[in-house]
Amino acid sequence: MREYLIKRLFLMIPTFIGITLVVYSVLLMLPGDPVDVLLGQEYDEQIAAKLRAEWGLDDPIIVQYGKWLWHIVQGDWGRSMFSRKPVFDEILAKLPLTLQLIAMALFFEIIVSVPAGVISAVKPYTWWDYGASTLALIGVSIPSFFLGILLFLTFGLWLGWLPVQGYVPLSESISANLRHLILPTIALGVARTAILTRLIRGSMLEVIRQEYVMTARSKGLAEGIVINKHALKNALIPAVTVLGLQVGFLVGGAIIIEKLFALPGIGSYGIDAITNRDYPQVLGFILISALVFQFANLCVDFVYCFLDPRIRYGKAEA
Amino acid sequence: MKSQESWSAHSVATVALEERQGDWRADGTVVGREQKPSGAWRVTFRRLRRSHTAMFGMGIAALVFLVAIFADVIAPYGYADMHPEDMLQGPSWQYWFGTDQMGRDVLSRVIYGSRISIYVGVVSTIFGALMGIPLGIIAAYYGGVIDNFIMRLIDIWVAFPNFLLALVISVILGPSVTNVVIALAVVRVPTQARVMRGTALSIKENEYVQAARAVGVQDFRLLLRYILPNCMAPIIVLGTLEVATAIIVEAALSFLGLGTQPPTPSWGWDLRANVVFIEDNPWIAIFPGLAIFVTVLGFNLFGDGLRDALDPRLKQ
Repeated sequence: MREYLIKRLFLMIPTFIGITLVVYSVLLMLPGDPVDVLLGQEYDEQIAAKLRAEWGLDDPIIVQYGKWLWHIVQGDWGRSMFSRKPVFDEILAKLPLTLQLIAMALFFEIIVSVPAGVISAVKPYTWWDYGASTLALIGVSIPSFFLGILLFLTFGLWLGWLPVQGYVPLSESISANLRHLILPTIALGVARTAILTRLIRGSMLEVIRQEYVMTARSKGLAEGIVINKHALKNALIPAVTVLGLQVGFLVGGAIIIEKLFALPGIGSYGIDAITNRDYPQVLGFILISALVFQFANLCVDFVYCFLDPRIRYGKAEA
Repeated sequence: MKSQESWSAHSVATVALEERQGDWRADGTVVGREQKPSGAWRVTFRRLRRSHTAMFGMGIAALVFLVAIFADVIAPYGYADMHPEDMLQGPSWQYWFGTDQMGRDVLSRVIYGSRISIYVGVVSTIFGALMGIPLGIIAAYYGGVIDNFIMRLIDIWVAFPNFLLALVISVILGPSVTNVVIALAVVRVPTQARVMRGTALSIKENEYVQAARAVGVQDFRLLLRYILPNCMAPIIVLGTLEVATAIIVEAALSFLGLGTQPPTPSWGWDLRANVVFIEDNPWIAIFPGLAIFVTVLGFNLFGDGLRDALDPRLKQ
């Protein structure tokens, strides 16, 4: 277990070098460097040259990258080219909102898809099942931003139940914070909930046909115990994998949902950085997204071990 | 052309007959002494026809294709025609889907917008497959160092969340339809490669492949003529579902203003432009969104049906 953890952590290093190297070199090959963006169409060449020297834009790419990576390791993620604020601090300030949104979306996915998937599997080919399958199909097909707009229109503008824009930090008011995040959470979570429901239905259908479930029933255990304690745990194993991969989708999905609901998280930050070509911000944004994604995958591997004790990593690979 | 009824009437018997000619593999291909690939496809299509939802999905997808091809003929107005006197109107007999803030007919824009969605969806999926299939099949066939190298490369590829990668690529290349296609194709490569590798790994162990190798068939020909055709079923299913994903991502990028640029009509961009007026004119914002939803639903239904039709475990 510990060997596996160490191996996994080491494997993350080449991946990160690969990612950052590729993005960094491509970003620098863009036409129009940040000096052009800052100074506009016509500018004094001397000022431009001075700025380029100051920002290290004259060095070879590999040197610039090396410097940048060295700073990253030390926790110095550079300064925004326009606001001059440290990128690391900016990201740290915006990260909690995005993490909260992702966590709430994951929570929403689990509390909806597990019961829906189990009911569909326990009562297959009934109205419950058809209802859940139809909703799941709609959920998979509706783009998150369109669903967001519909929710925004219905619950925000027409019914006036929930606020549609802005954000209140958790530290100020828990209820106001949650009220602001309910609609974004649903918009972000629905598509993945739908996928998860179908997956849980499928794996549950397979598990409840197995002999050990029949044994549990023949012992006279209540149906609820058979389903919840015996079948569900095994049926959830494939769902955990997908759930981990979904964190990646949620990181991506959060970008558009934050923009739609005007939430000041990492996603909005990234879009603004991209629009302004603020390289340190863009790279910081990509780095934090990849970090969150990798960390989620790591967590999934560990949850796996707990759910399925047969899995012993690092030994039986033959 | 036989009617639907006569197909289903004799289908059970023929399916049973045709399936006896070979063993269905887990990936939906037929292998065996009397291998008949065309027969397998016929069986698949017959099964597909029995699924009402799959046919419904295929119908939607076909309809969107037709609308895209014949947009010039169907659309009541040009996509850029402005009617300043009729700005921001709700649905009426004159403008079925209403008009936007420049007095343009929303229906006509939705009709023309299908072109971008279908183009991006289909072309990016094809390009993604053209890159992913060779990578996957080569990794599976040669194994060892080559396999390891390709798969580690793919690991780095998927270390990014998909949407983020598409976003970054289309930003680096600049917002345009072609660049969205490139971005989406690049993002799709790992999935295609992994599925292809998985399938090819099982196919290459077949006796007929080894027999071909024993009689001296060259690697390239072996890959192209013996292995690839038998790997097509999962690739086609994946491709159908990927078109749906690509359509959503294109719309999302355009919605953020980073995809298709005006004046080219795109559902995502129109949704973005019309959402500002959503409080007083909800319909004009909802129609482009509904167009995305219905198209994606069609491809998803068709893809699901195709998967079931190709899955031998679901034999009836």
